[in-house]
Amino acid sequence: MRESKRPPVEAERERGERVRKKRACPLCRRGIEEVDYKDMGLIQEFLTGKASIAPRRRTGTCAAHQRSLARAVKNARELALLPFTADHSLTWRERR
Amino acid sequence: MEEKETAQNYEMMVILKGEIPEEEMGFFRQKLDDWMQEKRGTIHNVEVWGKRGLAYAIGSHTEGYYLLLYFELPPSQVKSLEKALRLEENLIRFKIFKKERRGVHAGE
Repeated sequence: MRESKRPPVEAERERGERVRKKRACPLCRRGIEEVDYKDMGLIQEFLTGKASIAPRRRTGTCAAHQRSLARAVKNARELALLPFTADHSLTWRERR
Repeated sequence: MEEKETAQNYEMMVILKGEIPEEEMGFFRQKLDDWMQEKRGTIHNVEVWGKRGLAYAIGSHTEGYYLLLYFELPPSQVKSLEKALRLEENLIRFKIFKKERRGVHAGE
């Protein structure tokens, strides 16, 4: 997977705008090509408390990896390796 | 184009009913082996994950016996494999994944 290019921040700085430092995608950083649906430990890190796929704004994954992750999660769910949703006996706040 | 269809690599995960006896598992493996032989397929590797709790109940099942298989098969036979598996009573669920093409003509 290729690394994403970030537009230069100098121009924004000159204009006195606040520049938030963009963190690199955690999956790129670990050198993971494609997310494997069998890698439960890895996938788990990118799920919310109610077992849904965490948004990119929370995990900071790049678009390509987020797509790959989504694919993996959906495959894993079909094979009952992951739940579609958290147990309804608990509220999602408690799970989180 | 050669007259023989080039085989493609596949990965398949299979969930058998968790409550069936060990020998039924053997029967299933044997049946699959025979089927593969007939259809000019080759099973390269079988990973036995064993009994595992399902993340959610499928029908009345809460446990499944997981198998992960890596095999090679002419692509035209995949449909008939799915058909055959669907008739398998001890099977709860299966999913076939296509892997990269092997051999010199990769990516064609």
